[in-house]
Amino acid sequence: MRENNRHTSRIDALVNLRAALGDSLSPAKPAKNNGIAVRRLVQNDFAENNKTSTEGARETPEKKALGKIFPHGLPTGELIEFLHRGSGCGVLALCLARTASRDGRAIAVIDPEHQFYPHAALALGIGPEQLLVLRPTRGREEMWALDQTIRCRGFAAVLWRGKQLQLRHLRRLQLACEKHNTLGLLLRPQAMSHQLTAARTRLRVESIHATGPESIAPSVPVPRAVPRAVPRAISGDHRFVPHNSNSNSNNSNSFFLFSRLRIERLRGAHLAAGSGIELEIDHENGTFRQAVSLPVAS
Amino acid sequence: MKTEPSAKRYLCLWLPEPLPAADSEQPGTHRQHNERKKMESERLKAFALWCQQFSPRVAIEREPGERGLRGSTLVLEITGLGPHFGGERGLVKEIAQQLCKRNVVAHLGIADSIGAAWALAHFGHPSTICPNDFIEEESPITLHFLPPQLSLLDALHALPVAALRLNTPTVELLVSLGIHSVGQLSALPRQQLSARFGKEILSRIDQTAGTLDEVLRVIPPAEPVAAEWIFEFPTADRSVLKNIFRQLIDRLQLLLTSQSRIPLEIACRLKLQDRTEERFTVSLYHACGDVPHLAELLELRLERTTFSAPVSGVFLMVTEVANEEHHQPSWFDVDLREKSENRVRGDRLPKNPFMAPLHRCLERLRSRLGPGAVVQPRWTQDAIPERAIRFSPRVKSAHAPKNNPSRKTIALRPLWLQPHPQRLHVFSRDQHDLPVAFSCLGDRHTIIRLEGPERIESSWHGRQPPRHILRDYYRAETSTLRRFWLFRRHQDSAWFLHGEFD
Repeated sequence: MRENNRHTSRIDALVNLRAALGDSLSPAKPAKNNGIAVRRLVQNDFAENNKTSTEGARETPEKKALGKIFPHGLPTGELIEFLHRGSGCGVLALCLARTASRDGRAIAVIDPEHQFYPHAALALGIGPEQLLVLRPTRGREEMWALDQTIRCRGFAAVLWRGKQLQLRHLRRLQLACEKHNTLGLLLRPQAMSHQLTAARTRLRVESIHATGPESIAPSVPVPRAVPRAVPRAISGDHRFVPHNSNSNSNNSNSFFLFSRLRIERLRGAHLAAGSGIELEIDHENGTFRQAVSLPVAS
Repeated sequence: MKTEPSAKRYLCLWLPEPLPAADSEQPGTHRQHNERKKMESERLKAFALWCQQFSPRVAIEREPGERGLRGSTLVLEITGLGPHFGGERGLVKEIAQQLCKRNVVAHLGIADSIGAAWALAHFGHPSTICPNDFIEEESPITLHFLPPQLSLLDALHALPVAALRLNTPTVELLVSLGIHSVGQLSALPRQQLSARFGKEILSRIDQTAGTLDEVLRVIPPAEPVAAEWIFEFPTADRSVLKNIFRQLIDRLQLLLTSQSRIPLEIACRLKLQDRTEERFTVSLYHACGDVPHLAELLELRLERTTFSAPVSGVFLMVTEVANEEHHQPSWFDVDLREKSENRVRGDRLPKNPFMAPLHRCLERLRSRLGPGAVVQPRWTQDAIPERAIRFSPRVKSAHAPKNNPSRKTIALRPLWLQPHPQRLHVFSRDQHDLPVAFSCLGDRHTIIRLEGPERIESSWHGRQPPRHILRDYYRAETSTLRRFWLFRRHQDSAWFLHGEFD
């Protein structure tokens, strides 16, 4: 037991050292220590030192977009509640989880309905050894599993999708996130927006019509991107797009490789209240970037 | 040292085929020769320990493939054990039945000496086959039996000289001289045998005749590390049980510390007042001597257990252990530092400091939710989406799983997949016979964009039913901007919802 305590204290020292180094390197908002919890921020330039040149080129738009949502860097010890409508919110949450887990910690997905399909996580660059899927039954065990994973220092982010969550549970989870430096990501439908929340950040995420990669402003570098013939008009004639994607190379022509989201802050200290940004998720490269609409051509 | 023929009885077990793999072993088809040999040796040792249920004195006489013979050999001393099984026939019957259950191919020989039992098991003559009714004709088990107090060399005279466990050059020399059987050899003068073929031949003849003692290298039985608590009055109070768990784990810890071992798995048996038992096991990802943590795992497992009657006794047993690692402490680790500066190797890199708390958390989750509730994805070769990824409990070793597809070759797939595809009720279709409006799970959707098809077909030799699957998958966006993954079944053109891109 003594050995184990020694081991634990060593881990504490390492974690503190890592946090101290991270905080000292970051010029952003200093970590607030109120005696109960230390909030740590993952800076957007988290992996400057060890990323490859191709990754560096790829992450630039993503870094900018992340900076728009979280100007002080992605908070790792915080509960973020997504109120979603349409599709694309889950992938955005996984992108945030991926960013938070760059320090080697794992990602947990609470999946009581046995529906989570990790194919998309792999496409985002999350390794299967880093991903753990928990399948408790709905109700008490689900809340217990969510609480336990958030309280574990081995998890960088915990993803949960559901509807009902009591305020006292939210409050407890928020405190646990702050204390144990875990990012809690709750995906709830927008119909739950009338319910009170204790999550420090609450974002409304709405899917909007995606029009393909050509809508991105020219100033934003597009990684691989050559705008291809993506059907734009939504009419009866163009409703069906014959697209035989048995070979993976044909995937790049798919309209569904891009999804656009409008993010608006309902609660939290990051985005200005009422303001929102539009993000475009590139499912092929596993990245997201800010979408800027082109001016209408004369 | 020569002795008078003793009244000892031995059972020799020749296993000509490799032992079947245990359930806990990881399957591997392309093992190295040394690795395979080591694994077979470990299996044989485990099998020998299993055989201790028949006799406390079990020895490995020959390792797999040793002395140029097929398979391996065990020897069990069964002196005086017959009455416990209703006679030697009862003992053999029990062994034969248990071996059949384990699908082990074996040839048994019973005689007064190890050498004679070995000769019977390996080269048993039809005259020594024991007529019995408990071994079926098609059974892979044969039994050769010599009754006690019999002249062994006379009984074995028809067997070949190799039955005396002589080395191969001696056997070849004897055969070239026209000496083929034990009877021919035993008829020759002993002094001349020793002079011509060395001392080994005489000692082997005497060992077979039972006039020369042979050392049996008995495998020491594994001492069970266990602790028990019997209640004077049965109780159903869980707080009392939790307290008892802590005390018993403390005792187990003391026992293990003296052996420099750490528990990896603890089996718990609760005896109930109505003479039934509740059994459960808690296992760890890494060896841990933390008593409160182990007690907590047992308590979490206890919370899931419902008792039909009060508990009258608690029995804990350590079923899997790890050896404690000792590192020589050094005052000045200058050499190590210099080496690590010069070369960077994977094993010298610092370990992930988050792994230990992660494992402790997973152990807690697994204890309460069950092993099937903490899973990791594993890719398979199957093209059918619901079979392409299998969720298996996290393995103890921290190696990265193999056979994962590369990120570049991965196709666009939904984030949430229905375990069983949901049939769509299609309200209207377009000129291509594709759905325009459909309802599923109580919601009605109108498709504004459809993309596809992507044909997915299972291989014709699939084992899982249904054997042949042919589907045309489409990606659909609805008027509410939800994106679904639909497919049309080829057999009957029925439409199904399989997943949602979220």
